[in-house]
Amino acid sequence: MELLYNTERLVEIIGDFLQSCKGYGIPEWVLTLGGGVVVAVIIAGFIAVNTLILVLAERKVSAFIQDRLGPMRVGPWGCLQTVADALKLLQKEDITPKKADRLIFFLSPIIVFAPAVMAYVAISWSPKIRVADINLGLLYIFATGSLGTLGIILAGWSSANKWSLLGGMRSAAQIISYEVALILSVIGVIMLSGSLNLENLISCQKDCWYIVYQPLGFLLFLVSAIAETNRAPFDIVEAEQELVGGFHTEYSAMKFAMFFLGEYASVFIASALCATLFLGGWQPVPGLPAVVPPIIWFLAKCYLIVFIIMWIRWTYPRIRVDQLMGFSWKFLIPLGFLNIGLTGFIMAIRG
Amino acid sequence: MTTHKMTLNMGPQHPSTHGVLRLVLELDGETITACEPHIGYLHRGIEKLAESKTYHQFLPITDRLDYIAAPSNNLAYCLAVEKLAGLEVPKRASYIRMIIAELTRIASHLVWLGTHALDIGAYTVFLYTFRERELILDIFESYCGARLTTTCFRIGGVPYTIDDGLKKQIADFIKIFPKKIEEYEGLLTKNPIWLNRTQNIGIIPKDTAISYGLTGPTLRGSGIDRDIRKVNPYSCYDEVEFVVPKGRGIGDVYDRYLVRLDEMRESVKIITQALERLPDGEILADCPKVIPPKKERVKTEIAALIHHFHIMTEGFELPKGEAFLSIEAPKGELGFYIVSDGGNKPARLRIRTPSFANLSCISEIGKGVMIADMVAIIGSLDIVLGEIDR
Amino acid sequence: MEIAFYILAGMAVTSAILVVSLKNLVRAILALASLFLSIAGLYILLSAEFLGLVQILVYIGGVILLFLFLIMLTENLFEKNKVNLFQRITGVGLVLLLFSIIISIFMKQPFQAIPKTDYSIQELGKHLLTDYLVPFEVVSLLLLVALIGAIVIAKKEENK
Repeated sequence: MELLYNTERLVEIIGDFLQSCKGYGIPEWVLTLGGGVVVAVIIAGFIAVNTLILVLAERKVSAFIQDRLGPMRVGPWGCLQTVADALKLLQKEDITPKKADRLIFFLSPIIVFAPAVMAYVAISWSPKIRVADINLGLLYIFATGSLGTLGIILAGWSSANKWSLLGGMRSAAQIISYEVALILSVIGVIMLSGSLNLENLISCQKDCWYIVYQPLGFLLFLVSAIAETNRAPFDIVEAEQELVGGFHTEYSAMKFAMFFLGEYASVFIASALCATLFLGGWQPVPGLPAVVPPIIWFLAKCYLIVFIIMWIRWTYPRIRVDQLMGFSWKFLIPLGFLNIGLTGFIMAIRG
Repeated sequence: MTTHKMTLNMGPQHPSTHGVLRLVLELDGETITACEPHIGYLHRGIEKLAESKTYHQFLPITDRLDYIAAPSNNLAYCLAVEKLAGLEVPKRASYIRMIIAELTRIASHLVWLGTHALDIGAYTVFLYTFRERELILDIFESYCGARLTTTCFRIGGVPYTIDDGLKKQIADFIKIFPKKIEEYEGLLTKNPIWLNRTQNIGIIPKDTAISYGLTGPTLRGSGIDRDIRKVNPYSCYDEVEFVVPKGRGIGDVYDRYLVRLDEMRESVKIITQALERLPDGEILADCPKVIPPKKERVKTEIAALIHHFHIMTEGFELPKGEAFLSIEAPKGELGFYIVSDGGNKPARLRIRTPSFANLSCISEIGKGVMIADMVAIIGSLDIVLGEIDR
Repeated sequence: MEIAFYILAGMAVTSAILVVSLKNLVRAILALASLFLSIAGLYILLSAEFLGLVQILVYIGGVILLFLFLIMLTENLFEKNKVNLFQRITGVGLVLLLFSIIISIFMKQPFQAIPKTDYSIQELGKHLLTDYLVPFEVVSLLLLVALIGAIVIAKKEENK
């Protein structure tokens, strides 16, 4: 708790410092660049730590669902297990297949990871903690989300492995189908608030969260977001039992870890977006006094969504690739349009 | 625009080929246009090995055929040798064999259900089924000390009896197990994703099933009511009541799933009846030529000691002739064909394994499906490479 | 902000050259993605944020993905199709013609800075559905025709 309060203070201090630097004749672009580097390091650090937590949570949640204990040996209650795993991954030999396209093979993990870092810039963590108040924040996050897929497809192609190639092809088909459904699902929210700015979206939900007005939109968003982040039951891109790992079959060591970081970073972004759009962001439940700091509210909501995503993963079988496309085009997208129509209709009636 | 077909090697190192099966697939996009199974990666020459081992010595090797249902292999081999030797097995031994064989069926089906669900992406079912399989393995351990490669029967009977403690252990398991089946069904049977992945996938029509010689749940999934336990009862299967499940009669992956689930319920029924009626008496046949004398006699009588030594080193001789006997193993009809030339070793031994025949239809039903379906089909055939390659 | 412009412009020009000069098709596509990205950056610098983000979303998230999807399925086209001298000369000639047309248009146009306006998507939406309704609808119709055409071509392939 103390730490989180201090986080808010720290953000203010950094901001003040950057402001005060202007007085000393340092050119503005140096400040912008310096600020950018600091922010990038903080975000990358957060992603790394958060991934460690999420992987441990994933293993503990799956253990809980599957009637077992999960990791118990490293650290109390196994809580250092993922740290040990990360250290092990760092030490492993980095293998590049002989026939791989070396340049693209090297670039793809970066192309997956970098957009995930970029997306964190637009998230509004609390009234005080946010990196940039982007006017079209929502669109920005979607744009960065579509960049990451490029890395997955290139990884699949450059590995010179047919299974990876199939994974890459599946990824392309999946993203093209689900990006449409994802964006359609949030249009209802945008219509209600009349803004793409995440700050505005949150302040519009002061009295009532959008999940109340947009229950269908929420469900559609959740399903499409799970598909966008390649999580089960839509994890056809890696599909361990079908494609033996898919696009990351040939990856090892730190490059593999980058894919892992990218995946969990985007899962968290999807949850953060879900919390922002439908659960009132960092605001407490309407009517409750704001006892705990907003960032705790925000993180709690994010982790709740993450938990739901994990719960779904460990419960459902995997959907088949053509059924996945059909599900998006024949079910999610029509429902998305229906949701937009209904929202518009009700808005028109109520003026 | 012309497109090329892609040849893809599925296996022998693939998580869903259940061992070292290798499928050479010809792909058009993700659709399989041709599928050819390549086997033999686990060939150990078991049939040839039998020719250099005495009848007793070969028994532990049968464990390595279908290694997740070892007692069934033991049973089939023992029954075939007994048929050739003309041995009569005591009733109590037959009942014990039946109980262990049905527990094996449940254990084998649990492994199948777990891995089949895992192939289709339902991770949790896998751990649930292995949790219950563990209980069965504990029962095996209490019975004979081994869990996987049990060698738990002997030619002419069984080596150990089921005492009250073990009886209670089995009864406890039988009591909780039906609820556990409900649990698996709750996760799968009506799950829309599961239905989409299994219904109308990998359909084996009746005539195809017969022409390929499919047996066991794979055959019954196609709606054909044939079970060796009913058709040609061995042990004491004619004394217990059970139904042979047939599924919906379509012959798809879902049908085979339903059949195996129902079979587990029927096995529970059989075990319950067998436990109730378990007769008293000897557990080994009265045939000194084949069966070594009891330990107490070996330690006190010189003649018994010599007799024991003789059987242990030389084995026993069987009259010239041949015998074939098959049982309903968890995966289908498991048969042993033994030719004796009058010596103490089989002159020729041939094993008819269910997985081999069941796999043979894959090139036909694997055409035109997608890779993901192929994984589901392999799972639904329930193959074990140990008995395909032998 | 000038420095950002030069970085982005340099990136755009370099990647544009790479797109046409790289022999490896997938690498060329990657360069094309980088070109689109830098142009999106330029749009954002001109405070046309919506355009910039849509550029990323549609061009990189959609068009480039489809390009990759197709190229992964085909073999290296360059090895099979050698370009002959006649094709080269026509190609260079056409490019020079296009270049001179563009330059002449640029020369005539008096350039001046547009006053910085705060773009809002509400405005954009209103303009699209009032002032530019006809072109908007025509473009959607065109896309629909293209969509149906693609399906028809794909279907024909199937019938063979």
